[in-house]
Amino acid sequence: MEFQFDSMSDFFNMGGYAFFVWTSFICTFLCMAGVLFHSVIVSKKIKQGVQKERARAERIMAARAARKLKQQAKPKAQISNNLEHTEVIDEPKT
Amino acid sequence: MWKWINSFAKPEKAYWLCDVLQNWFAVVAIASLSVGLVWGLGFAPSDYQQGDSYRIIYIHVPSAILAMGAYVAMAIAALVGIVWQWRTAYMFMVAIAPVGAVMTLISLFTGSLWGKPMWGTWWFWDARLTSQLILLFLYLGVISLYTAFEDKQQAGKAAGVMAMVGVINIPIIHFSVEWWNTLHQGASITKIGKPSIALEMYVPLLVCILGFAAFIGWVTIIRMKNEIILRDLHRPWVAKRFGGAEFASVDVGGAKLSDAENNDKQSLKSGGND
Repeated sequence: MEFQFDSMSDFFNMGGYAFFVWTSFICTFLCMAGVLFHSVIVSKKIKQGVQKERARAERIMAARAARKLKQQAKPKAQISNNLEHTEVIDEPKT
Repeated sequence: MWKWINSFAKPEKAYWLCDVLQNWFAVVAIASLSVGLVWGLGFAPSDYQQGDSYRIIYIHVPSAILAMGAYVAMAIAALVGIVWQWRTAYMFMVAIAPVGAVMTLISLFTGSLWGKPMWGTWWFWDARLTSQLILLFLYLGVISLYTAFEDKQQAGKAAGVMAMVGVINIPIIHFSVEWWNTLHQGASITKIGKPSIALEMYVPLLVCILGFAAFIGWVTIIRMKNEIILRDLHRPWVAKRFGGAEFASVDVGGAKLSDAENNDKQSLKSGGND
């Protein structure tokens, strides 16, 4: 097995078919790289999204827990007022 | 055995399998593509009739064969999804569809770029070329049918039916060069009997086919993982795996906190599983 062309310029010339051969190889490379990188980028985005979602959930939980503790500390008379108030805040903001 | 196979229908386990396989496919794809293409471009002898233009074969034939192969794989996944109600089968189906579509596209335009110097035309409405174009439309149909439905279980069923019906196109593509008089040449590779091309050209072609196959597998695995996470976004295992480090319990203190937190976790998780 040996290199079939006399020189590098001969290789790039492809026996006069340079345009057809190299266009198809370059386009193929671009297509394959495109589908590969698209998949990788989407994967990164999804994982970031999951982390964000999780952080948000944790924040909401912490806020809820803190509110509950606060309510327990307050006198009973104010609880009914507070409950109505908390329900509004409790809605997770999207 | 059957039970063991069925355990992979679980998204969590399927994800694990994808993780294990991904790097193997990547290594095989990169290695055999670089070896096969360099071999084919520089070291395979040139054709006595077509000169060096025939070197397009090293991407044209692998992409065309594997576009059909990917379609069959997709249709089998659709069958599994519909018969055994595997959600993961639909995920595989929708993961491989864009990759197969790209392969079909590659086979079409490399064929076009090969046809121009050899046949004197970019395109011709011949049986092989037309049926391959229909394959591209079938892929696009499956993809768009899947995205058209909000409910992904429904989407999987609809796209799966389309994928299975489209299988009829595969034998038509394969036998088109025998059934009709076409410009396209006959098969270079046959499973039985000798290949119709010289061994020095045949071996690098096989290496390229292996490389393309591994590439399809690699990208499909990445896409499949994406699809699994997307579909299971609100399931606990996804949050556990990708949610980052466990947030330290917030320092509001008190024994009640952990209790309240757990309740809230439950209520958050039970919302919206699709």
